Amino acid sequence: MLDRRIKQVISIRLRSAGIIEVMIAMLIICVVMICSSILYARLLDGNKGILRIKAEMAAIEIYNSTLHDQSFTSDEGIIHDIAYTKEISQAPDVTGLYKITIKLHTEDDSLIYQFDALTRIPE
Amino acid sequence: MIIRRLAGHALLSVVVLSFVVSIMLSAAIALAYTRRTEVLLYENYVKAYRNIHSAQEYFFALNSQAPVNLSIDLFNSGDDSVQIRSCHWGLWEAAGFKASVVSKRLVEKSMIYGCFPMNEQKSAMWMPMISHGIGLTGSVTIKGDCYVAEGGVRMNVNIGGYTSTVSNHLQGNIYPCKTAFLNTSTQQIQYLSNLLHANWSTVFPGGQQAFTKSFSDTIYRSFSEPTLCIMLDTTTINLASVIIKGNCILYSAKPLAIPATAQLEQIQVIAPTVFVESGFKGSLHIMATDSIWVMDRATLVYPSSLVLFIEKFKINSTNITIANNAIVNGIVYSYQATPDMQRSLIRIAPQALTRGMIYTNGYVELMGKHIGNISAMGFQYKSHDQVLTNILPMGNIDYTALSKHFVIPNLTGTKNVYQTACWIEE
Repeated sequence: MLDRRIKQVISIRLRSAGIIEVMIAMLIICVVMICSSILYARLLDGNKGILRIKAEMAAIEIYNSTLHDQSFTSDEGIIHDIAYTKEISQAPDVTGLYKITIKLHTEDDSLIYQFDALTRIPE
Repeated sequence: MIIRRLAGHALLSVVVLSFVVSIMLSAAIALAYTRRTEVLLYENYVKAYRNIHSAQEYFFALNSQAPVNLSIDLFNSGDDSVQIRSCHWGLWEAAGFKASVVSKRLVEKSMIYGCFPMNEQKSAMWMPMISHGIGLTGSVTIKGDCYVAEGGVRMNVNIGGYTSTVSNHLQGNIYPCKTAFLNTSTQQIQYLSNLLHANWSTVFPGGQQAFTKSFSDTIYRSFSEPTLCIMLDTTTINLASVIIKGNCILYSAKPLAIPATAQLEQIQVIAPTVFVESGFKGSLHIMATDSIWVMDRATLVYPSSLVLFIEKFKINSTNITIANNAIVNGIVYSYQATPDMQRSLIRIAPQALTRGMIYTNGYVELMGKHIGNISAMGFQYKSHDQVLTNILPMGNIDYTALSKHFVIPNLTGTKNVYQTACWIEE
């Protein structure tokens, strides 16, 4: 009995809805869709952000080991399931100063994070 | 009737519902946006700090002994610019780095730096001017190597009523000195003289100084900015309540007392005589022409320096006194330009502790403990009835307990590998 009355009320409201109500409803749907897509994009980017922070931590680890090993050669490897390439080049103009570039990328070679630092490496 | 009322409320219901939904969505979007901005800001701060670290390495690699003031684009990307500025800071060197984060936000870091001890400085004792050796007696112990010009180190000396009370006075090797004199470069002597006479235009070439007569009692001054010179003789200031950190010089033409309650960090203090009052704790770079007193229970944090620079002939004795239970971390330095009848004296009381380096062309009266190196003309010990020269009846020198990260000012003027002694941040 009650269920039938509610259905009746909704039915009356919908039937009495005019052009303004339809416009408002469409507006709400549009807003919801736009907002959802923005939110989704943000959340997705947030996941990338976490990956980026993870990559940054890994880059610092590689950088520290580079300093420890005092390696002058380029090498590649995997650390924490992120692939990396390490390059050590002579920084211009200053003797004893080197530029270390560490690039971290995914399996499909898209760059997640690049780490550049200048450092002195004793000979 | 009921149907007509329900139909009338339809518009209101839709408006209310859409309003509530839009508020909720706006809040969710705003939250997501805010979080994203925070992450971006964090990333930019991390990048700025890393750029400052790279700039520091670049600056050290330059190995410039003259002050620098430059701006560099580290990786030629256009958004990695760092400003570097350096100056002499007493015996030490100081540098300030400034990197931009986003819009008007900046990261500023300053450091005091020096170099690792080299050659004879890596010993407990370096006495290049002694001709009859050093005598050890009483309770004195030395851990580390000893460089003595002539005569070496004699153990278990019975003199002036003192006899050995320990079985082994020296744990280390004895070597002859190659260098005949304690070096102090002409440029450094000239610089110290200019500093003590407040010749600011010479000390800070290029107008890298500023003066103030009125200021708040809390100051943080980065080394990437010009040095702030506070002339105490013309400024009304209650030193007991000040908090001053970084690139500031306190200058006084009259004797000056540093109150125990003053909060001073890496400040240069210049006056004829300086008293560091009992209970004070902080890091100071003191320059004086007459004497320096570090009272009991005062602690000078690393890297501090006590510098006594005697240019002219003086009738009265000049000395640095470190009282009982006082601790000095850094360097204690005394330089006498003209040879007087009385040599300057660095006096370390029985319960005092010094850590770092003692460097003087005068004498050291060691009764307390010193961790690090002593480079001096000799030792002198005064009691009520006698003066012992180059005989050590008490005190301890331990070079082996000095941290391997300890750096000292570049006193010899030779090229060296620079390292950070400490960072200064607001």
